[in-house]
Amino acid sequence: MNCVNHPEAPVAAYCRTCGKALCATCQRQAQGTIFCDEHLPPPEASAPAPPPAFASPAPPAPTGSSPGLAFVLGLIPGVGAIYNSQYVKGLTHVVIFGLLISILSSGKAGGLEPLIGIFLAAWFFYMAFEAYHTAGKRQRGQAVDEFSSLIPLRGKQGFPAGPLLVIALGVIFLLNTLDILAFDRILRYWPVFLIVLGAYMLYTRVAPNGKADRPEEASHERQ
Amino acid sequence: MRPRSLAGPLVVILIGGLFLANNLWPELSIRHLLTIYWPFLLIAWGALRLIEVLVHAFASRQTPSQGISGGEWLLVVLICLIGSGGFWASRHAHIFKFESLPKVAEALGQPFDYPISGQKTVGKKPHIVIENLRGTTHIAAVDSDEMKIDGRKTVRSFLQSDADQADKQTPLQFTVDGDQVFLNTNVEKVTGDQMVRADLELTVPRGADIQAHGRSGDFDIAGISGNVTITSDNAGVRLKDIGGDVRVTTRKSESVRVDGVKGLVELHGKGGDVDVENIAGPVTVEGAYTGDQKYAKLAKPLRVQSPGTQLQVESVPGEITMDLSELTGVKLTGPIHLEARAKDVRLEDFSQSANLSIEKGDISLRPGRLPLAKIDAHTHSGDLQIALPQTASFDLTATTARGEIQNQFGTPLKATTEGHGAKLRGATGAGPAITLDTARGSITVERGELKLKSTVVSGDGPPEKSVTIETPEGAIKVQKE
Amino acid sequence: MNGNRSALLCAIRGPVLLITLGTLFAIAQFPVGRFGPYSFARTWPVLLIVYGILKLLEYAAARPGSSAGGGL
Repeated sequence: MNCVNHPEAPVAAYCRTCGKALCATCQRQAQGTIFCDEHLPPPEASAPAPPPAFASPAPPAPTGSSPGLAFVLGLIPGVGAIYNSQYVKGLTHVVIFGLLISILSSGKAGGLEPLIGIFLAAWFFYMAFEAYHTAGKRQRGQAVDEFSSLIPLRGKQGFPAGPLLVIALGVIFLLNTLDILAFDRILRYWPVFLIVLGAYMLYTRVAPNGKADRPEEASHERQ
Repeated sequence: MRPRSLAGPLVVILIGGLFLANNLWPELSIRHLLTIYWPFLLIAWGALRLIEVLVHAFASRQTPSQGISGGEWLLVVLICLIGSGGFWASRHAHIFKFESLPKVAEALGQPFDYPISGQKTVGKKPHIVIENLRGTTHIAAVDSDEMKIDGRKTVRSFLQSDADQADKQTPLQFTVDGDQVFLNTNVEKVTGDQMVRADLELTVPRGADIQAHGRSGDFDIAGISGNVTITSDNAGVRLKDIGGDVRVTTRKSESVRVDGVKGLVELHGKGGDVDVENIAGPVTVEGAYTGDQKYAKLAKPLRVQSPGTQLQVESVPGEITMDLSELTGVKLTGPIHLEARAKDVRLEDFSQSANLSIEKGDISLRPGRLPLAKIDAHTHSGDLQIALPQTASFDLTATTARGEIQNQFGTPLKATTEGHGAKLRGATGAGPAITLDTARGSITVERGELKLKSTVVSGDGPPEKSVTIETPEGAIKVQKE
Repeated sequence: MNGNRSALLCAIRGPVLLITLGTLFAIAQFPVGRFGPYSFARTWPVLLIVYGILKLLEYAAARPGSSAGGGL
């Protein structure tokens, strides 16, 4: 069995989350176990990549991972993520961009157009900045989150904010397209999103940080 | 070594094979079958991949290989676009709402043209029924008792022989039975998946009644003195100088333009822009028209009903322009009744009563004629503005629950603040009640100007020397020194 | 083993989404019984929901116990 990124290198470990085979250079250590680049949980402190056991410190940046170029390309919806080899994220970015525009032009937002317009502008720059930060992380050899380099969707307590958000969005859109509950009724409650966001941020800060390590260690011991 | 997926390349080979078979043996209508059953291709591919992954996971007890790679997803997206586009073109069903979907099936194949012609005597006042499901229909009126058809049928196909066959399957049906005339281009009778459209140029007797039905294609009709009824799934409509009644029903339309109708006008359904002018009869518009709407020179009542708006005006000597977010009316005769969810409203130079109720939007009123009539303007969230002539008589009550009041009119109107809002009360003479009300917004009452009508009276010397101006108070004669 | 279960879920996410996509398009072209035509333009959010559910299951499989609250 050889590494997925380096077919000639023998495997040194497997990623805890997705099971990819990793050679010595590709493996990333965190919380006492091995992860691949994509699934490495964000470090607690803002420290550079944790020192790997075998390989040399900070592997050289993959060719063409310029944060500046990533930012510029990120201004085109989806291209920033594609530049960072995150194709699913790129597609997601494009889809969200298109959705925002079609909400605006469908006239169904019923007066909330300014808000959507602002969100669209914010999203536009978010894509660029997200690409910039992802490229920067890649360059420094740090972990790269598969959802977002700017927003901690993984959650320190293992709280799956990302998937829940996606499911909630899916339900909201479905209710609208099936004419069960129109957009403008739902959009009227947009401040709820802010409240939930604030509560979530509170939750992640109030609970002690040590909790994140427990489940990992427990399962590690169980083996 | 982690094995790569077999399913992806297999799907590509399969698609290639199917298209090749379609080209080699067109009579099997493989492309037709593909456009119907392609989603099952995706399902089969997904199931195949799923089985691959599960088998690999349980057999080798190792971590399974990746799901579906980026390149494969791209192939999936392409298949979806082409598949649904093909289905759409072959079935004319409006599966996708987004207009930017490429019409792939139309781009394939080349156009073959076949001429259409016909001529029959139909009498002076025929009742003509036209069925042209795809293509434009252009009708002009002539003073004769003959109906002439000129046109072109266009078939999109890969092969001339297919196109010829499609032409034979879609013959022009033109029958006359007394004063009933029936015209059908039969474009949908094609059995293959060729696209056939018929663009018609008709000349008909002026006294005709026209009833036209289509699925997609514009209508352009002028000079008919009978009634015109149009029904279509997607049509731009242009009608000019129609003597009878006009009824247009569309499920989708880029624009409906009606200019000069002696009877009534009724628009139903959904569309984009609307332009209705110079109508002698009542005008009714019912449906969701999302573009710019314009109504001008309407002698009889106008009624517009859409999901967010309800408008009724007794007559429109001037014009009303409106779109999804605003409504402007200049020179209207009331009673005016408007109920809307979200619109900024501006009415200028209107007479008779006005009753406006908006949930969200600003209202600006400038009544142009005296004497004033009852005005009721309410908005739940928005500013109110009214300009009242100083010599007008009215009894005003203006309330805002949250906002300020600007009294530029002066006495005898008096403003008082009440909590977060304010109230303005006053009356000049014994006039009609003017009630303005907003739950959140400001109210401004200004001094308005009167619209003066001036006529130049000749007979008192050459016209440049004197002018008589009529005002609601009386006539003023101005002499030039 | 938990790591493998979550990795398995990660791997089948793609195929399951593909099957869902095909099903949605199939429903769009063949009206299902008494329901009106459910065009893809109306049913696409199902994809989001399915994706979210699979991702959620993947998380749950990778972290046994704490948030799921079951068993040990």
